[in-house]
Amino acid sequence: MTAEPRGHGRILAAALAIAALIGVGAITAGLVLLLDPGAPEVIGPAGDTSAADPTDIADTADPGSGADRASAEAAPLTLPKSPPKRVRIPKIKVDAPVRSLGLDRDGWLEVPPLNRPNLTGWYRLGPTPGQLGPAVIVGHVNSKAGPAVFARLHTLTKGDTVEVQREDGRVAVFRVDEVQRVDKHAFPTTRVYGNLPHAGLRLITCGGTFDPKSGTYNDNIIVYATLTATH
Amino acid sequence: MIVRVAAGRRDPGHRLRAWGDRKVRWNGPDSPRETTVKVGLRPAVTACAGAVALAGAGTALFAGYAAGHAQAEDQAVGVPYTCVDAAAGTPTSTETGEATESPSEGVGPQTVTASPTPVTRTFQVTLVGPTSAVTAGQGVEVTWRVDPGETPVALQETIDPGVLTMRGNLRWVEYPPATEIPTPTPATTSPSPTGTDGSSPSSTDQQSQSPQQTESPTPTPDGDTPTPTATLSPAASGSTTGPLPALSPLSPPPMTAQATPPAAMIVEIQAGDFTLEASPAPSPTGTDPATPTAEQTTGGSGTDGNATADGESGPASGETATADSGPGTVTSPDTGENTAGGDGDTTGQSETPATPDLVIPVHDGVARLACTPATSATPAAIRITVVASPPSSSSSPGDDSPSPTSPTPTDTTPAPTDSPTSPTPTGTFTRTHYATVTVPAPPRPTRTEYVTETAQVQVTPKGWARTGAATEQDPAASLLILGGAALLLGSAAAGAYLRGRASAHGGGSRDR
Repeated sequence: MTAEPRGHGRILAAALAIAALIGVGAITAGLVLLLDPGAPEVIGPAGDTSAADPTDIADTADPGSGADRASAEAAPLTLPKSPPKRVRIPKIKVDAPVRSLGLDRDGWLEVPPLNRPNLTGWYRLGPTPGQLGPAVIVGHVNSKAGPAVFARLHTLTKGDTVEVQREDGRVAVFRVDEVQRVDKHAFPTTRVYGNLPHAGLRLITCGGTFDPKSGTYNDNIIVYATLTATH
Repeated sequence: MIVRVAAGRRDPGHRLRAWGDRKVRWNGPDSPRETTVKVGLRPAVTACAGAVALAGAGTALFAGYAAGHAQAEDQAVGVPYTCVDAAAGTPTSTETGEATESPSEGVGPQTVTASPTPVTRTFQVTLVGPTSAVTAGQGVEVTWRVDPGETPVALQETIDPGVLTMRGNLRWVEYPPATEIPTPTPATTSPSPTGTDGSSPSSTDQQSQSPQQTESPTPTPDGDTPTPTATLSPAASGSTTGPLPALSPLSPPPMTAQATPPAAMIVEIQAGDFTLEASPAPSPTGTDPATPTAEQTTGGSGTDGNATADGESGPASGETATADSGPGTVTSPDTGENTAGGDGDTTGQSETPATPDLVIPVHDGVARLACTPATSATPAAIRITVVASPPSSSSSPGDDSPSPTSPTPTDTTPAPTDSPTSPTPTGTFTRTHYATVTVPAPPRPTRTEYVTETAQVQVTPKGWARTGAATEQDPAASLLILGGAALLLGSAAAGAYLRGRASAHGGGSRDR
């Protein structure tokens, strides 16, 4: 009679001990996750760093680098002014609407609302996609809810295509010339917003590592593209 | 250059709160650099100080620029021209005009600002060749090279900014040594027997125009038609022209013309550069000694050149046939002999029968004079002065008066008067021949084109794009902690409960 309860008691004690251990482990794991988020995620081309590339300025002055120059030699293909409606990037499966953006009161480029992570924004104080000059479209890399429309923008490479559907019904097809990750503090303003001898497109999003102190990413991912076709 | 204080970014939650060391990032052309600086003043004060410093620096820069600009203008103003023996690389002459030559420019084109109406006319004309000896009766090819890209210098209507080839007969027009001297310079040139083309109709014009023409040693009936020895007929890039048209700028200006406008560009070929072989044949008066010995030209080349001359030469030939030809040729290189041939103009003196052969020595294979005239004045003239006398004697081109070539002593003194002088037996004398090329380049106002580029992006946004956001905290951690804590507490409670129960049971059994 007494042997049975003893056996049950031992088993029960062992189960409780295991549960206690699991609980300790869970607490530890929770604390680890809470206190140490681990290595920050780096968004952006690995080898491409910031910036301050001397060619940044030269690119615009002498219009464009690489394909920019090549394309500039011939008569530039341009389209009349027409705001963009959607942007499609087949390689990263982006098909997002485009809204118009301006500047905030401090002169900074507005960004799409975070609560619409799939929304991109076109800077309306610049050329429209297809017009002569640099058309700028920005999108979030992520939101509080997770990855956003341009989460994989950094994976684009030279030669990839970006299509922008315009309100006039035409589609401007751009070819990616370069993908650059730049330190935000060395943002190549001239290269991004400077005059071009052709119709260009700049896709901008955040990249690099997230700085919890500032609440932003340290870098920007910039995709330089040139209009190559329309349909 | 942009300076940003890292702590001053507009990132949310990252406002500048205190003063002290701050990292400053310089967005320079090379690469971003960070520097730690002491920030001890309030932003407003710092900004004011910075503004003042910038204003001062800007003022200093502007002042420096203005001073430099003014200085540059001062240097440029009035620089007439500079002739450089391109082959030798040494300046042969520099116009003494009002302006000084800017040192830096050297042989290159110069820019001159005309006084009332600012005119920038920059061009460079290079006289190349002939590269070989020029003998009487042979054609001469002279190349005028005008620097491309500059103000079109219309040596002739046919001139191109590229290369103007003057091919044909050289016509030498003699100017009296000094304009003051009324009398025509002695004459000279021995008539060239060959005469050939030499006479180009056009030439006549030229000669006629040129005072010298009066020349003629022997008074020829024509008087005026001196026989031009050589005629430069410009064949601009192929388009040759025969004789120079009367109106041609190349035609020697009349005496009056002599007073070359200050703007005139004079290419002077020193006496030493030419060796003249004149045929000794004394041309007795008569007839036209005048004929141009000059011959240089003529037909030789057959090219157009020949054509030209006719007129004169024609006459020459005609007239002169005489004299000229005297076979014997005398070379009078430096000495004076020259004779020249020029156009026949012989002046005064009789022409010695010498038939000059012009031999233009070359430097390193090319005889060339590069002139860089920069003048606003318009009719600019290019005068080629052939001075038989030693180079030293050559007059400075700058002078308005024709280069005063002093005839060598031996030379005859040209009778100033028109009266024909008796030809010297030897017939050697020194003389100055001018081939005048008038460049009717109308002054053009300086044209400065400003290309204003409109910014394609109307307003450039500040800085970077803030397209990222902090993702919300992962609830897993909390759940883990809570779950773990629950498990731990539950197991502990259960363990305690079981222990108590077991002890209670154990005690009861013992009691039993």
